[in-house]
Amino acid sequence: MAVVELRDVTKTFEVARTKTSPDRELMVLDRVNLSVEEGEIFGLIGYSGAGKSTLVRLINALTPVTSGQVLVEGREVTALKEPELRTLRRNIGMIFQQFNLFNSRSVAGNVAYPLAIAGVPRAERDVRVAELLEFVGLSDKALTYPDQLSGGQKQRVGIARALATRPKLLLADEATSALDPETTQEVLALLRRVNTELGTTIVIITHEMAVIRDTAHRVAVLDEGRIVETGEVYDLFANPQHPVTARFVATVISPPPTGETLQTIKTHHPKTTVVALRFDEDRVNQADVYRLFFEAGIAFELVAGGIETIQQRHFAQLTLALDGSPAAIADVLPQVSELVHTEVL
Amino acid sequence: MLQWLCDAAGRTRLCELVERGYLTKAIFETLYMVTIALGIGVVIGLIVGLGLYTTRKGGLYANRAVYAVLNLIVNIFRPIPFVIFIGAVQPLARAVTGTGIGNPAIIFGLSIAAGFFVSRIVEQNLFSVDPGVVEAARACGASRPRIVFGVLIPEALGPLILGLTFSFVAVVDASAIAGVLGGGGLGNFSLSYGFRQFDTLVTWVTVVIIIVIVQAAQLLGNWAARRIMRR
Repeated sequence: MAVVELRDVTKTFEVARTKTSPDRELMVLDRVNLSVEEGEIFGLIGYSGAGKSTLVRLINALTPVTSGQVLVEGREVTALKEPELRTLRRNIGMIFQQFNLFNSRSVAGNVAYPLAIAGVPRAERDVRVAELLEFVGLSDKALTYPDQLSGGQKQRVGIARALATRPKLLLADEATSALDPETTQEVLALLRRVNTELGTTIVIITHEMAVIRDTAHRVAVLDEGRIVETGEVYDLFANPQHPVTARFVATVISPPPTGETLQTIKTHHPKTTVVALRFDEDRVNQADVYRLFFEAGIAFELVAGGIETIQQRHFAQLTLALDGSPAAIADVLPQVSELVHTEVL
Repeated sequence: MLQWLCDAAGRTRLCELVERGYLTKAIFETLYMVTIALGIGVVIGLIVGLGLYTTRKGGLYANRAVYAVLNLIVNIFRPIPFVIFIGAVQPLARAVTGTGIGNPAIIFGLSIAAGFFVSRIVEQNLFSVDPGVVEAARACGASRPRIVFGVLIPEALGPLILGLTFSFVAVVDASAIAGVLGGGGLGNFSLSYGFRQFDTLVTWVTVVIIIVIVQAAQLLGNWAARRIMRR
């Protein structure tokens, strides 16, 4: 059973009248369907304003839907009354871009807060808080206050707080967008650990494809309120279908060169044939391809590309300049294209 | 200290006022009026201020009608100069305290005025709380009263205390008008024995005493706010 399911969810906001336009409804999410399976890390990527933060808030009903259904563990969130919603929210953890820690409470006080809300007795709370701070590696900071912590430490407190009530689902709203690259890695590693060690299902909202690459199993691409593509992260990287997806993928893996870049390459490597090769399954070794060139007496140079490991699977997008007789190249390319996706540029 | 002032300045009317205990009485009357009025004012101000903040659009208890009414009342009454206000609410003061003159009537008017004043201060300081923190509390499944008392007020406490210190000064200021309704305190003392009798020394001694009271309150408020905000 899906942990989260969105069926035909639409969300509109009322936009106040301005000089140039009358009162109108702004469509933020347009008939969104998606399901998040138990135990997975589900990524949701989109540009700012795509509606991803709104979408994630529909799951724990911080924002009500306009139409459609939101189901969490089979229960229809959209039909719940306020007291039932509070119970639901106690079982869904959430972390935020700006951490949103309580500055008036110590680190331990922050982590204890959801436990107090859930009515956990004090003694039990203290044990749990110690356990959580140990898990996020901040045992020595229990009595400090959030304003004395670094960004990465704040987010780790946020994660400990979100996990306090042992939720099965964790919502991460741009959890690393306010952090530097190194701290981002630290927080992402912690989130992966939450997923594997505690089995928590995680929904990650981000505008960075690298975050998706490093954490998510499946991903949905949101553009202007619509999900334009969804699937296994590996497949989206290897073979993006929608232009927006391709743009996100290109931020991590350089696509085959085009236009000016391609011209520059060709100028630097005259009398060569430039080909783009896509190694998108582990079944083909680069060596097998290179051997074909070698046997045909073709020299080559790697001129562009990148290699990524996504969900323990390798993916490479390589551009080669082949230097050999046109006949030999024409002869070898069909053999190469049997092994990998080949495109002559 | 008052005795010392007397000796230093030579035998003046001030000494007589001090020896008769008029000045001490005035000081205590001012402190008494201000403390009670601010106490009641803070209660009213917290309730109305929280009301303004939470019923506003997007607030925890968003309610357009309640907000509009509260906002209108505060906007109408808060800007009225206290000397006029005290006269305007005199019938009400008589109904509630049994007298339209003297310290009880003054305290009544002062409390109401302080209430409106503190309302805005409370509302403004609640605005300084990051809405994300409220959202985090909601995401934890906290009920609205728990958010207000467990998150909103503690998060705003430092600035709230500074705001209340500011209000204290404003109430001391307003309390000086007590003489208008036959009340006592330093304002009345200074007018009666200083200004109206061309005794500048008496006026200035009052000024100094008020400065001391206000500074003491400000220091205390700053100290408490700093402790709470750990800065």
